[in-house]
Amino acid sequence: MIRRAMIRPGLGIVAAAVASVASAAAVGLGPLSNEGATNTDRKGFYLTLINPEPAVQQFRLYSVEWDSEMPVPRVRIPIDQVALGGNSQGRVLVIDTGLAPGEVHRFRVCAEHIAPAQQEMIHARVCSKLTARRVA
Amino acid sequence: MSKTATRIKLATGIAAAASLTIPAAPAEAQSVIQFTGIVVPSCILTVSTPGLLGVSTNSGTELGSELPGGNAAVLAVIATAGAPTIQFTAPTMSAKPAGYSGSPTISIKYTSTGGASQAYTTASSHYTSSSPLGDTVTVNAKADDAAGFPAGTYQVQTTATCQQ
Repeated sequence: MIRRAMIRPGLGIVAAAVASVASAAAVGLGPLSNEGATNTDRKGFYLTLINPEPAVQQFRLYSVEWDSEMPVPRVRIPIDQVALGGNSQGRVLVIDTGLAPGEVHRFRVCAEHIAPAQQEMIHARVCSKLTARRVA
Repeated sequence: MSKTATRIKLATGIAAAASLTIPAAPAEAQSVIQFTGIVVPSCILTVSTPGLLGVSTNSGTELGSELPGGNAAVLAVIATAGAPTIQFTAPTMSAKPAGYSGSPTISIKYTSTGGASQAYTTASSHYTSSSPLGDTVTVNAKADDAAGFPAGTYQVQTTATCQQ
């Protein structure tokens, strides 16, 4: 509850910017693909979130299936809403959980900036394709 | 030329030769300054120009970015991991006035400097850029309704996704 209350003023600022600044909708993410093996039921990945705009922006990260928009609850993103300063980047941790022995789990993590959806003709997002493999 | 003048000239020549043969500074006195950078294999999408919808003045049955008062949207793509694929969802009407209950046909089309050439479509679509580093996509949108559009604010939206 506190978290939402803290974010709302930020959203108001972003909304105003979208209406008045032409280049307010931007997001960057990398790497676009990665894979890794683990001996446990968890595998972590680091992604780099990029704010190419000169002003601070709020971003949302979420996981979806490899070839659909279905959410993947077993993929955890401890910090899934991030405020990044202008022209800066930050690392985001993604943890795939519940890996069975020998399992190969493919999924995507997408990033988008938080803004009222109806204020954009093009809603931009970037997705990274991740593959986790449990070897034992 | 006098002897004095000759001596001066010789002395000058020796001094010049001496300055050319001064040994370089010892290696241990040198400093190497390096600059290191890492290019993350990433994709950056920037909507550099938001689109505007105009209204057809003769019939009032179409809203479109190519109509008078409209403007195409421009999406800039910067990819450092090779040529990315850009996907567009089927466009929707994300905002409309309360008094409008029609079912418009909504479509988008786009071209890009990286080779995209998509005619107006109501479905999702995608292309892979032929430009490995950057691309600029020009997107047009329109909404058609034979019953027309009452006064109000309308918004057509598509989601553009950059991925490999």
